[in-house]
Amino acid sequence: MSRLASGGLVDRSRRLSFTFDGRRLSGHPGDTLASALLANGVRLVGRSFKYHRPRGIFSAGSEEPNALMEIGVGARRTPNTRATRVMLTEGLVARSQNAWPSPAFDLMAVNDLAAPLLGAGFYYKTFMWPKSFWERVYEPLIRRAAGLGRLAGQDDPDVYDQAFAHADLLVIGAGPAGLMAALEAGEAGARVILADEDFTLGGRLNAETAPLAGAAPHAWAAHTVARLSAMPNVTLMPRTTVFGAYDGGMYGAVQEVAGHLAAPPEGCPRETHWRIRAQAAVLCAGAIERPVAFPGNDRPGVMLASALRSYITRFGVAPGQRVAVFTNNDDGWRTAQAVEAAGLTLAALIDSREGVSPPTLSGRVITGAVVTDTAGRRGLTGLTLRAGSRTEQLAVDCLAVSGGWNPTLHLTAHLGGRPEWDPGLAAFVPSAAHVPGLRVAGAAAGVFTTAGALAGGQAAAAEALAELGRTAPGLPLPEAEDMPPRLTPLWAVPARGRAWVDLQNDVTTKDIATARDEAFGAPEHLKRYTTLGMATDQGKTGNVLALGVLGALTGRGPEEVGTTTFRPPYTPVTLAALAGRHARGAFQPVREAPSNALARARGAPMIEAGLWKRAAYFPQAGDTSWRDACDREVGFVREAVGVSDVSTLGKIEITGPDAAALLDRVYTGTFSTLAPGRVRYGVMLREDGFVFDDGTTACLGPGHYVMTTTTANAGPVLRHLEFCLQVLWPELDAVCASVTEGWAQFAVAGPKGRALLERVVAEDVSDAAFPFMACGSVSVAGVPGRLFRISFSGERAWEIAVPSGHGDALARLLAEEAEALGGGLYGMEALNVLRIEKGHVTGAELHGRTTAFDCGFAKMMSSKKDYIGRAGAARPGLNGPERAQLVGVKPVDPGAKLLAGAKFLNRGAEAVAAEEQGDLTSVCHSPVLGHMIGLGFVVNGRARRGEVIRMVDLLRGADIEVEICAPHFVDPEGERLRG
Amino acid sequence: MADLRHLSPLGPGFAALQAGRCTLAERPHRAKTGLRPFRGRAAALSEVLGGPLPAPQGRAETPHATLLWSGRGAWLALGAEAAALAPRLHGLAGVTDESDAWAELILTGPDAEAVLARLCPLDARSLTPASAAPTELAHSRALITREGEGFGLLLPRSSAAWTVHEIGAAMRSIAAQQGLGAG
Repeated sequence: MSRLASGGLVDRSRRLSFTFDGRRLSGHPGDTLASALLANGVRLVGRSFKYHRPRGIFSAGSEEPNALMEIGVGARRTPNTRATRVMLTEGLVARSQNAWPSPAFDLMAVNDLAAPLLGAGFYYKTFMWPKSFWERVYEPLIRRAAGLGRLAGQDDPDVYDQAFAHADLLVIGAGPAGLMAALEAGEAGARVILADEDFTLGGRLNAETAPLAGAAPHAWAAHTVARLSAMPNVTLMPRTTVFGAYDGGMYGAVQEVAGHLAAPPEGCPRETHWRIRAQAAVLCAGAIERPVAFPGNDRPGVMLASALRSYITRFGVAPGQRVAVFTNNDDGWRTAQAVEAAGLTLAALIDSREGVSPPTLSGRVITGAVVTDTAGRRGLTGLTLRAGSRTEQLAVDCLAVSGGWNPTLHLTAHLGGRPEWDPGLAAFVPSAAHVPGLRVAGAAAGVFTTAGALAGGQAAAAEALAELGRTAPGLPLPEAEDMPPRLTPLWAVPARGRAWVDLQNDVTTKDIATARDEAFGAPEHLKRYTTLGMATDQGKTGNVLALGVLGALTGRGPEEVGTTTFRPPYTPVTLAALAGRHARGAFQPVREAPSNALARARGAPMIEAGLWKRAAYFPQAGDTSWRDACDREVGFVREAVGVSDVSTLGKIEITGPDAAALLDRVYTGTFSTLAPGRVRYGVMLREDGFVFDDGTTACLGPGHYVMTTTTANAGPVLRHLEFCLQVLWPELDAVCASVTEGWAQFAVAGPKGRALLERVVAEDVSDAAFPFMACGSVSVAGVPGRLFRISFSGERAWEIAVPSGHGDALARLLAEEAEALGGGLYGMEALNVLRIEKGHVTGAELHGRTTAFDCGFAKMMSSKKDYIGRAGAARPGLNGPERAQLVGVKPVDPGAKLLAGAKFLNRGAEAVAAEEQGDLTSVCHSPVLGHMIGLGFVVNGRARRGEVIRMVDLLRGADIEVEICAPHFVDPEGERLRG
Repeated sequence: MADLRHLSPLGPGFAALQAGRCTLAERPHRAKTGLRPFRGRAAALSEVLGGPLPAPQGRAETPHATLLWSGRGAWLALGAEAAALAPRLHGLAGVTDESDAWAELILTGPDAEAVLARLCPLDARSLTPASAAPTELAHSRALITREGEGFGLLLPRSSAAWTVHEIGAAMRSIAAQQGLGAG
């Protein structure tokens, strides 16, 4: 076992059992999966992406490139989870990835032998011949070999939540800088949110031993956390990663809630996606250590020096017994000291710098030396070092490497900020102006001492408080170490052999040199050509190292090379968390029409019309298909009486002294001449002359109108009217109100329609009292309602409206009465057949690319007034025989199928775009005529009635002859309408 | 002739939702009228109503109705009947009967604010008894007021049942998370 006899913040009094690749192991509360694996002596945890080389635990944080595991079983199994970030819980099941049959013996390691073929950009150079092999052989093979973890392949049983939060100050990161910032702002009474990705707050304070306020740093951290928890104005959010900075002080974060439980409580989300709106924010995300590139630097047992300290100090775990430390900076010395303090053997402290004085240690101290190679296939067994001309070999089982520190400044670049190179620190630091309202403190700002972090966090909070109009309390800062680490840059050790830069994607210094040689040396090209930084760790430990290597190759410093930019998310975010509760059936709101309960009770399937659910048809016993129902319902309307719910159409009440003037300007026809009690059909154009929407507008009284729109355009038309009133003509005195929600409206259509109406409407509905296109207030079964004599079906028809609270009851009453007259309810399928039979256009024809001229509305375009779209519609090319005009079509062979979306071609023409004569927009089977009919647009169609052309659909393999006819198939003279 | 039964947007017999320390109940149905004054007529409208029209995002009580600002140049009068008001408002404002256009609910309990935070981007702390906030709730619209320690929710009728379902899911989520305890 590699658990130290004492030390660490884990609870040694309790044991947690877990499995890794089927082996039963145990750890303690407070462990991560990584620390528990190391405590059990498990060093080999997976294989790298490309070459399938053995991989071990490299870090102790979210920058981990190697220890990616599948966590959980069954449908909850989640791939690519960093073991360094998994909180150990009882019964945890973990499996390694990308290795078969096991990490210890992985057949795909054969890739490593093919390494010369798999270098940077290999898929542009190899696997090119023969050409036919690419799609059939190489690509499927490469695809199968690619990828790391496996998805569970089952429906995700977890729920995810989303939430909004508001804060005066958002503190990102709960290390020394963050804790101090939160304390300062909390004591000032500000609304503070302190978020940290870890389950134990404190950041590096939990991993270091240099005294803070005279005691162990983790004690001060725990004490401060307790103080903050007691403040009602401070919200602590552990296990919460702030992954992105967005406009307007918005920050995106993901909180782990119940993912660690084998069986979360019912309704408990696995994760919550937070959107945090903060007046001010402080980024205290610390810094991530970078390694050095040297041959053999990727073996299990090679890890970041600060990670070794974390495992010793926070978890009480020894990742090795004979440890060497390789460093180019003073911080590496702390790891050597921690090794000896833990009772482990320090084989050597190898410092690449000349003329430095490391502290006194029991182990060997060698300055001016570098590591040039390592040994041990499945785990480190030794290293080779070179000092001057002398080389030496050491037996070690753990090599801790420190190449310097990179401030975790990613969020500062999310809105376009570009980090700057600080040559003194040999690191990128945040530029002055990056995200409005966001300050940076501590190591994230390039301040690498504890004292500096505490002071910086306090100062940032004080500045934010001043902006918020609050007084900073100026709390006393605890005493802390203040030794700025000195560093001499060393990117890559000059030596033979492959040296890794990106451990996950297997990118070496050789690949960087190749990319530079092949003219892909700019950082953005380098990244994409070599795939460095494109793995799930997003290059956190490799990117800056790569820039340093590239710079050294080209004789430039990283500041000249530049850096790739950072975009959200900082660490991977599950798509399910972003969707929150709005997934599957809850994806978008559902709007129910007033008669839907009745429709569902009758077994009607519902279709979606935008957000609305509408009944498609009403099946009855004995139906063999939906067509039986549809044809029957068409028959109701043509021969008896049909009732349909048309509540979903937009209804807008327009009132005011200038209401009529507004209508005249938005419609092509004249509405100021519409008398109270009358309805008129209207067409609305866009400014460019294309048809926007159509509907009817009724005049209910002087200066009082009700406009209907298509269902889909209810919102857009209202917006359009508001735009007209607010922007185009603010001098018009009129108001618009959407009343779609307030009215339930039903079409009553058919020869027996009046008989039905007489049974529910109190007033006289005879032709004399209520002629075609009349409207008015009526009493409907005792409820004040409205009646409109308009027809979409072409039969004698009315639309009857009552306040929506009575809609369900009216639907039932109308259904009952209709059935008594030999008719019944009809749904969307029948509604569509009826309107196609009559040549009425809908959104299928008014799709935004047709003009009033195309649709045959030219007569409705007034020449006596101006209106929106008039000038646009008069432009050359929008009128005339070259236009595709609305026609009806029927198949020459009555048994043939028409397909909506098909194209028209002349007989004998080649099926290419240049020969296209138009397209077919709506089709149906007409029970009245006994064959399919359709509406569509054909070039010069109105002059070509009787001509036979072809309907062609290459995707569905159709090419049939159709005859062009008038778009009105049933009752073309409209005699049935007026009774 | 049969009487036409009047139904709530949430269907007959909607029972209050209860989860954890939160309750969502439907308020008794009452008349609601949409008011949009014509140009320069706001003062005259206020006189008829017996109280000034509240400023944007505001709420005001008059002797006969609660007035909520519901959008640019628009107010919703709760407890006022359109048929009764319309004759007195002729020439002053556009009047629409919105009694059935909205579902009226009330969300109460110590966790009401946490539940609202799951659904609505508005900062609940900014809602006072004098507030009326047209905002987004669970990807749909809502007009939110402060009712004591809880919140009044006016939801468009057609999606009210769906929205209530979403509120229930948020309530259960909060309740379930409390069961997890610390950590």
